[in-house]
Amino acid sequence: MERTVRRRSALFDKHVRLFEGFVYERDAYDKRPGCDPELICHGLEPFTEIERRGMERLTPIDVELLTHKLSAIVEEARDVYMSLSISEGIITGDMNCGLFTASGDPVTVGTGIYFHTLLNNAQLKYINKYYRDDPTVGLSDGDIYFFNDELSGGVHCMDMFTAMPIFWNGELVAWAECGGHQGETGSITPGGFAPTAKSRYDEGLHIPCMRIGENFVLRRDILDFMTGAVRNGFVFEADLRSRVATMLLIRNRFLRELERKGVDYVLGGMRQILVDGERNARTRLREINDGIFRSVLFNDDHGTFFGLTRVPLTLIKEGDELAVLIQGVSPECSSGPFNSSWHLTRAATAVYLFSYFFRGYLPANAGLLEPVSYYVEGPSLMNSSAELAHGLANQVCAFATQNLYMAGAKMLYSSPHRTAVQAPQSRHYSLPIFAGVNRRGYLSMNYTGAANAGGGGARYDMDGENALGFYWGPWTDAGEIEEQDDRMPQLALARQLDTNFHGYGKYRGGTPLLEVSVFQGHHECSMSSWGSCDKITMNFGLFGGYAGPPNPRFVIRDTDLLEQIRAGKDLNLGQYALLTERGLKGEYILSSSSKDTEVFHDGDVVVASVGAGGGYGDVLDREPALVLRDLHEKLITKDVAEKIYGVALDPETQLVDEAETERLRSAIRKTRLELGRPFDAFIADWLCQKPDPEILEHYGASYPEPQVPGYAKPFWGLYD
Amino acid sequence: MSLRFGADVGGTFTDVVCLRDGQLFRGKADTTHYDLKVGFFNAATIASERAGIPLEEALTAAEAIVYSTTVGTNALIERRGTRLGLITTKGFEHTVKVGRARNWGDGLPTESKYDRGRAMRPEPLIDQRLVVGVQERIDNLGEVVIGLRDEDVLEKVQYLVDRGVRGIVVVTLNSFINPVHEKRIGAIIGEHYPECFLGHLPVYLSHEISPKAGEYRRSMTVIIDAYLREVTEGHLLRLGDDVRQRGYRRPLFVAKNTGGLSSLSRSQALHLLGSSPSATVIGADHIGQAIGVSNIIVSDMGGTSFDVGLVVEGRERVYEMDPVIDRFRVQIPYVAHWSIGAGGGSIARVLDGQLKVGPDSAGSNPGPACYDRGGTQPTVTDADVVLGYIDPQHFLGGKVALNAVRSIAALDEHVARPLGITVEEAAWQVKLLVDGIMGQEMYRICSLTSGQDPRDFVLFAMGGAGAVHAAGYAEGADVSRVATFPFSSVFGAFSTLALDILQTYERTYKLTLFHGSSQRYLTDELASFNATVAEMAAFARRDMSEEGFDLDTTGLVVDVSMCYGQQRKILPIRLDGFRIDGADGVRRVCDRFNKAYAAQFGEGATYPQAGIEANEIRLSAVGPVAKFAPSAKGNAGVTVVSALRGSRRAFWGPGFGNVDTPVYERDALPVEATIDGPVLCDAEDTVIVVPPGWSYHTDRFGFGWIERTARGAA
Repeated sequence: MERTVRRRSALFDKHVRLFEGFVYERDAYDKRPGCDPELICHGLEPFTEIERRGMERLTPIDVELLTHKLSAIVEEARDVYMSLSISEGIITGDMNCGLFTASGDPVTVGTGIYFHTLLNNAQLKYINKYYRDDPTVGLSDGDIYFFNDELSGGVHCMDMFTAMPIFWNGELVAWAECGGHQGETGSITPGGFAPTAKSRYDEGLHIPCMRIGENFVLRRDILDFMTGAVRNGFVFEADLRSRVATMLLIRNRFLRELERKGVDYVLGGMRQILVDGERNARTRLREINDGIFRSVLFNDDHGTFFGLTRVPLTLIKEGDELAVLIQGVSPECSSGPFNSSWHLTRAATAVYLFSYFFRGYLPANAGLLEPVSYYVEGPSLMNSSAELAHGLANQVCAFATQNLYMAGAKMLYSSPHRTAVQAPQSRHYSLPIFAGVNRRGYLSMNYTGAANAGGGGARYDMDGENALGFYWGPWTDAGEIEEQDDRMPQLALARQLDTNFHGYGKYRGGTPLLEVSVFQGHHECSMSSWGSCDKITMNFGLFGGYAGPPNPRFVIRDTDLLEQIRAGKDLNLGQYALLTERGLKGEYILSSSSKDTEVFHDGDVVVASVGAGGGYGDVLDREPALVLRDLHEKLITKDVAEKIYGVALDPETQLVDEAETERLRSAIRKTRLELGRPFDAFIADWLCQKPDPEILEHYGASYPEPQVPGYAKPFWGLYD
Repeated sequence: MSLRFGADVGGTFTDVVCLRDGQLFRGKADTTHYDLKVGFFNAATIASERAGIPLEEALTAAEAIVYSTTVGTNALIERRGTRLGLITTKGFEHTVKVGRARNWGDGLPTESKYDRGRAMRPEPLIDQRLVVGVQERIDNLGEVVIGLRDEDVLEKVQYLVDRGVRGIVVVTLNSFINPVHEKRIGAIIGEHYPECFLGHLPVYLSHEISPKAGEYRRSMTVIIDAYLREVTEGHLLRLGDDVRQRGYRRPLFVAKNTGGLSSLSRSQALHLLGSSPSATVIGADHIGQAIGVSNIIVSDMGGTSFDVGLVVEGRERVYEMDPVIDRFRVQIPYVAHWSIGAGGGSIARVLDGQLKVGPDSAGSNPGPACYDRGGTQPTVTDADVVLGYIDPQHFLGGKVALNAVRSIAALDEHVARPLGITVEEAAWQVKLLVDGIMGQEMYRICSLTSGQDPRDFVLFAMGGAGAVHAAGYAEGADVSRVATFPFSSVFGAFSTLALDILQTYERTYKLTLFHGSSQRYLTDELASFNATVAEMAAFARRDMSEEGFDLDTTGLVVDVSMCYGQQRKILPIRLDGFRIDGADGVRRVCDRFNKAYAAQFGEGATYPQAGIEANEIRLSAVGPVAKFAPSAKGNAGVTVVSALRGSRRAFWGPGFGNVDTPVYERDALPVEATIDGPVLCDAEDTVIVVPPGWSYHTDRFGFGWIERTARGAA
């Protein structure tokens, strides 16, 4: 049963067991048309002769200048791409532009979305290996390739990419690439996300890798096929054209650099950037204590239905290497699009690693992950097989990232890099996708910019930032409502930071932007939605901080909202107020975040956000002045100030009553001591408890740790 | 006698230029932060004395004083503006605080934008407790979905008044389409707090100040303007009083970041922020036209920062339409300029085995190690001293003696030893890196902003360190010609005298010109569009009349920002006149747009099938004023040889090593002379460094050109 694994480190060998019948270091599916899993898990390609030659010539200053230049090129491309596109996702930053080596490794990216950096390169390797010398396909200057199939190395089919080879004197020297979340795919649900999809064939257009243009121009016949395969061909074509413009820009700038500096210099420099990335990552790892660090996450739904699943993550850090082990995971899901792939799980960790763990090392590229090895048990929820639906893979893969925040914080606390210690940014979602004719007469299908305003996790020395941004991107844009009014069919009546909606702590988590929309007027509108964390949070609190609260889908049907406001009622449209006051007529529906398309009518209300960050440290250590500030800014109510933080206000001055605060806090501490239990007693009791079997349907064969025979190890421990 | 003053109040120096009968006279004095007027009068006294006329007499004779000030910038940095309240649409009270969820990164360098783990929002200009929402909602078509209630407004206004606000900003959603609610709120406040009473509250309605889409940017445009109005107005009124007391009889004119000037009574506080670097771009444009160059990269390398601007094809300036001011995004047509954290004071260090330069700076105090004021970190200036480019005994015309030993020690300790190289090599690498980064930033700005090829540009090098590093950063920018000017150290002040009177009027206006699915040119709404332009022209007429111009003497141009259907990227397309008439007129505008789009993004990117829309109208009114024109100079017996002052050992890279390099006195060189590099030209305000592979040429105006003769020679 147990199998031998390539030796990584003494710690790994001592404490890790891998088993026959599973794959760990690659995707859990075999080669298929347009997709080669071996290429996906390949790592950096070998040095080429020209790269080696160039590297010998370069000084560190040359490399720094080249890094700066290439970054400038892709960042310019990013800005142009975002400006020219009309998909809401791309406009608000769910995209990426990049320069890749001729052999397909990402060197520098303009982002956008960090995980795209580590994806969408296997397709280039596929073209190089299978199409370039195939006389029915080939590869020429001016070719334009398209890909969106998750199995060929992408995220999910809503994320669509194009690539253009760059030739110099007849030789392939690099690739320009750009793409992002375009949305509509012709799936069974308008807008792309199909929460009820049960196989990939329910999810619309899947193109592993196809040449769609020649001589820098898109082919009309293929354009007609593609735009005819989706509901909003107009948007599809507009975005495809914006990509052509963007790639041409990258290409032209890059060629100019070759002209100026010489091909050896530039290609050698690109390789050196990757080498430097690896060197930096190893330096950082050496500065951190060796050890094993763990985190486990429970997830509460499978798309449109509730069900418990489990994803643990273990980091084994020794010397300048790091192993990420995801084992004991719930099985893959054949009832919905709730499955990740090995490559996406790996790429998702880049969000944490690039922004926090390897903080300060730019550009973020594949070199940084060279000292990191990934063992993702498959087939499983985190590394699933081919025929399943993968539309919500971007939700599933985040389980690894959330765990990584926690394990990473434990690693970094006693290191010189404590500034990177923080609770996770929110990965909760209840994201509505609106579809309908907007007020200007255009067909519109997409989510809104509020998706880019999740709460940040609390930090070891300060609060988490409110409405920090999109989970996957380092710096994104939530746009403005007046532009949204022009593009979307629904009407937002509020977009605000909510009350009592973040993780409390010595430092509190960040609150998201909450958007409250109403359907009104003659404009038809339907809505689907996706997300998770409807009952159980995955926005952990850190070192005693509270977690960010769960946020299920919240819809109120057939309300009298507009009538009440028009009649002069001063309504608070915050989620907390709406739910606690229940002042509207209509049916309040709290449900699983992912739901298939429903038609909405005048007066229906949707309340949505992408969740709040967890807190850091004990709430009783929070400075009362900060509690008072939160109260003034309506981020908390007086009730929370008193009951959670133990901060009392003088009823007359509304300032902190220090004596009463001290009394309250002492009382809370005393109660805590009374509730405390020894660890063994707690575990013994905990293991006796078991959830309702109905929600364990997708959990896995055994409880509490899904495992195969011979896999036995204590739930809270490791192999000795 | 013709006489004009141009003034530029900077962080360190206040510069004044006196243009008398076509001749320029410079005055420079320390900026007096306790009272900026003092520095102005000090510098103006020097300039007028050099012009041979006492200050009072000069002020009495002056046709104009054009003033560029940092008073607003300083107040903004120190958060010393007016205590304001904000009334907005209920449910959107956090719009300003959250700033599109991106305002924690706006205005920060790239590496900070990518560092979201340490994200922190800027300190707000309005306390969140002074932001109130009123129930109302208007949609994007201007339809009132929720009406405004007077009692709701009154209650919120009273709340703000009770908390001591000194002004109220009003921003309601889509007011730029339908301002009915903003107007009503303004009227209610006016009724209850009339102007006749003490404590009257100024009210700033967003649709009046910035009738453009984008509630966050519109809010910040109005808020910054209102926040700085009191402090800016106070300073300028006091200055106006003082100059009048000394004889000046005309209005005080202010330089604006929109690229023009106007009298105080026709200016907004927001437009004064960053007016000096904006004016510098226009000044470069003016000089460029006089000497026959139309594409210019304007660079200004001082002690702590490196400012870059662009002039593209003569007077077609590069504007940023939603620039970041401080840390806030606004919407004004801002003459684009960018600041890079690199200058003579930028600190060099080795991190993780790699050399880094900047962005932190030793500033002027303690300054570079060689200043001998306690600074121990090596800076770019220290590297210049070690390389022999700066003569320690002749820095700033010999006014400041530098300590070269301290430069060597600092570079040795912090760069040479950690990298295991010699001090000279360390200095050389510092120079290569800072020049490379600056040059490539210029390249990025040039290409990013306007899609231009930097090879088509010449570089203007300003600032004390500009001419020292210009050849180096020109290499990185891919530019082969660099111009230097004898008045480059006061170029900001000079540039204020190159500005025309300018008023700009903008508004969002959505109009479909070409219908995508039917492929028809639409004319239904042209009458309304033309009426809107006419209304804007009427405003221009009113304002320009106040400035002393009528429509015959005013240049009016109309730009329409256009895009393909639902696109956000807009390109400004200039109308032939002030109207679009008939299907033919629409077609002409659309053809112009398609052509401009293809030129910028490629033919394959054009997509008229998506429809073509107009988004925004901008009308600019320009009242031309007389300006400085450079005149050809004679040689009057001077020769290249007579300008030779000796030689210095200078290091020109590993390929050349240390070379005894001839040193000339810049101001003693004849016109139309050419000297091959390596050569150094000392001047009172800078050193012109001409490396091997470059030459130095003086043109007929006495302007100096550093020109590449061989690629990569240095």
